[in-house]
Amino acid sequence: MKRKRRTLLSLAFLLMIASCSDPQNEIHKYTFFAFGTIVELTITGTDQETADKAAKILETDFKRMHHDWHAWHPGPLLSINQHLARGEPAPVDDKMMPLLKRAKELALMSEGTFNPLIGKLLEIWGFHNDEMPEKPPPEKAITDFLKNAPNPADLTFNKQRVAIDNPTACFDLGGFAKGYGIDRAIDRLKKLGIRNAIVNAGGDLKAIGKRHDRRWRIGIRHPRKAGVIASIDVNDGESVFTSGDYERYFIYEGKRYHHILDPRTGYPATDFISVTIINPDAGLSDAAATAILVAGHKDWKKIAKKMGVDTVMVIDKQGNIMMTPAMKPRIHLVVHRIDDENR
Amino acid sequence: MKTGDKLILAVAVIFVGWLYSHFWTDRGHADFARITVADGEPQLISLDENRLLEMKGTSGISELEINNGRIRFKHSPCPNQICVHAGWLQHGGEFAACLPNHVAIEIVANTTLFDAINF
Repeated sequence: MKRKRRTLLSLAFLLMIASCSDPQNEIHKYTFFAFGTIVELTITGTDQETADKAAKILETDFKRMHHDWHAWHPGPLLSINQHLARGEPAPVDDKMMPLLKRAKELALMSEGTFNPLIGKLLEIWGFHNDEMPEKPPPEKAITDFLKNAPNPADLTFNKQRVAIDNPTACFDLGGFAKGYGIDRAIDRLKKLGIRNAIVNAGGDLKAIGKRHDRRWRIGIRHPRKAGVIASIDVNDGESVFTSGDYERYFIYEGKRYHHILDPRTGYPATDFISVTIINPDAGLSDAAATAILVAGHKDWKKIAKKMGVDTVMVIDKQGNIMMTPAMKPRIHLVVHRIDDENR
Repeated sequence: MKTGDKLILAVAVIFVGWLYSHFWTDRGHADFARITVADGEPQLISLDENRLLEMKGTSGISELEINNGRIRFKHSPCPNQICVHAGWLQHGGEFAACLPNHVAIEIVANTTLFDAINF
């Protein structure tokens, strides 16, 4: 009996040592510039060769998506926008069609807080440029745009074409395409036999499987300085998206002007500095994070419900952190208030 | 329980204690930075020695400073200077990038607190 116990203890010890050096437990990390941002891919539970191959394929996929969906660089989406500006129906290929249809669906669910057709407004603000503008546009340019603002409900899809009877309509999928692209990237990884991974494109991410014997752990970055404000352990197949006023912005006369514009007023959304969403659908999370940031104090809960996202955290300009009942058990906050220097 | 059993048990307990202190009590102190420049292979740079590094990106030179186990973008040829304003990085998983110049830094530590950072 004693001998048996001793053998078991020795075996347990050996197993502990062996598990530390299992190549399947290795974490493979890849970083590449694509999709107008930096993409970080984390893979485990597979060998080096499979992980390397998957990373190369994803890099190519992201670069293609970036080219195809870019709002102001030459490519298929710019070509669609040029047709719409001339008042003509635009040819759309099979890959692009589901993206545009889904963008319309999400826009309708958001009650006008997410509008994928405000490319012209973003251009008026100077956000359709790789460099940030120095000052806001004249008020008249914004009021003129609003007089004939494009309504996503007017978009029609007919076989291989999209049309809208409003030449100010100009697709900008900035609040949605990244999420949709991350969903496609995760689908691709699964097809390649990867079961445990995180795809993180410029801070927005989706995870599958887990890290060995625990869930993947995500830090939520502080919206105003270095460090994190919270951690989330993500379940298999969940995405975590944050929209914030700190991603693309400029400061003019002490005031922050960011790129998330309220389609109803033509100006940057004012109430919230960031919105974080956990949901399995990354495309939905992306659009809903934008919509909820725009909705502000008055409507954020209503819009979240309408869009079907129940796990939401918002941080307002006063630094208050608020969340839905579903978010509370999911998040571990290390900061309970945000101090803001540029309200 | 015989002396041999006790010995094995003691070794196992000490080993678990060492594992705990090695992997959990060092809360993400930095050892290396992974630097990615444009389409090149990422480089692992030790943060032990204080120095300045010049990284040639797609639109010029990004100057990185290493000081006391920390690293930051000191200068970068970008209009908005978001990378410079990101300040010092020192904990495992912390990350900053100059997107216009295609230079990115991520801290790689023995114990990374997070598998990814959302922002």
